Amino acid sequence: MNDAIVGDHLAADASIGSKVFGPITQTDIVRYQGASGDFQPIHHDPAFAARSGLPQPLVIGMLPAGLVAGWIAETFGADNVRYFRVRWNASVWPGDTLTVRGSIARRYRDDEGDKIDIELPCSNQDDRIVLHCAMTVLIP
Amino acid sequence: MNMTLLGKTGAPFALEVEYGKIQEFAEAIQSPFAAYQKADATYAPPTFLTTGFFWERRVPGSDLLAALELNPGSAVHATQEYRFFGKPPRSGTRLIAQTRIDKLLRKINRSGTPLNIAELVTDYRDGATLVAESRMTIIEPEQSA
Repeated sequence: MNDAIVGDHLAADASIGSKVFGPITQTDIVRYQGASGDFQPIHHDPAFAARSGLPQPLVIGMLPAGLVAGWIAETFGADNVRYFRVRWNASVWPGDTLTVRGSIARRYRDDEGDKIDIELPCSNQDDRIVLHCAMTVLIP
Repeated sequence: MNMTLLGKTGAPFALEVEYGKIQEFAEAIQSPFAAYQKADATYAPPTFLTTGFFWERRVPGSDLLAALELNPGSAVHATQEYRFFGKPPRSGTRLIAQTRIDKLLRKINRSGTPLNIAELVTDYRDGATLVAESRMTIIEPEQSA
């Protein structure tokens, strides 16, 4: 738990900071595909990607999703995560550098305790939003 | 996309939440932090349940994504959700997972292309308790005849 971001200033619209990932390499993709068990060839096989009309294999979307989710789990504690959603907006390519910016959309209390909903748009080096995550975490 | 499978439920499969697998996955998401390095038990990263692909493929009748007969060159993974009904699973837990095809839709996008959309929901149980749910949305442009 990062004490600096816990407290009364966890108000709606409050920023929780940003994090930069990358440049994402082909090795990052292979490592993720091996760990996840999703071996879709379009993410590592150049010939397959070419047959699909792509200039090169594209980054598997669950990799940047995992990077963002991992950052929030690291910040608030993996045991406090209650919800994760990702929507992909545009392709991510090897060599891309991604920046995720977190902000608190809602703070509330339910049966389990105090929770915050976090919005996590993630942009590439051209400032284009390539994926958008949303998470809910319990604030112990 | 096979559009006849609405409501189909796959065979249950066991997903072992293993300590070593959590470490491997944490490294792959560049997140090797202390909470994943406790020797006794550790909580899974938020997107860890995606590793169910490995187990699902080993149980005949479980893998509904394969049953949808997608075109791997044009099908797109559009959204993914994980919801935890309490703390996420810990290492040492054996979850029983089961997937169903919750929605199958056909839509026309803004440029007039017909799209087939599938939503697959997987329930994860620890004993009788529902501990997590995932929802995957797949979009595939309809094949021209």
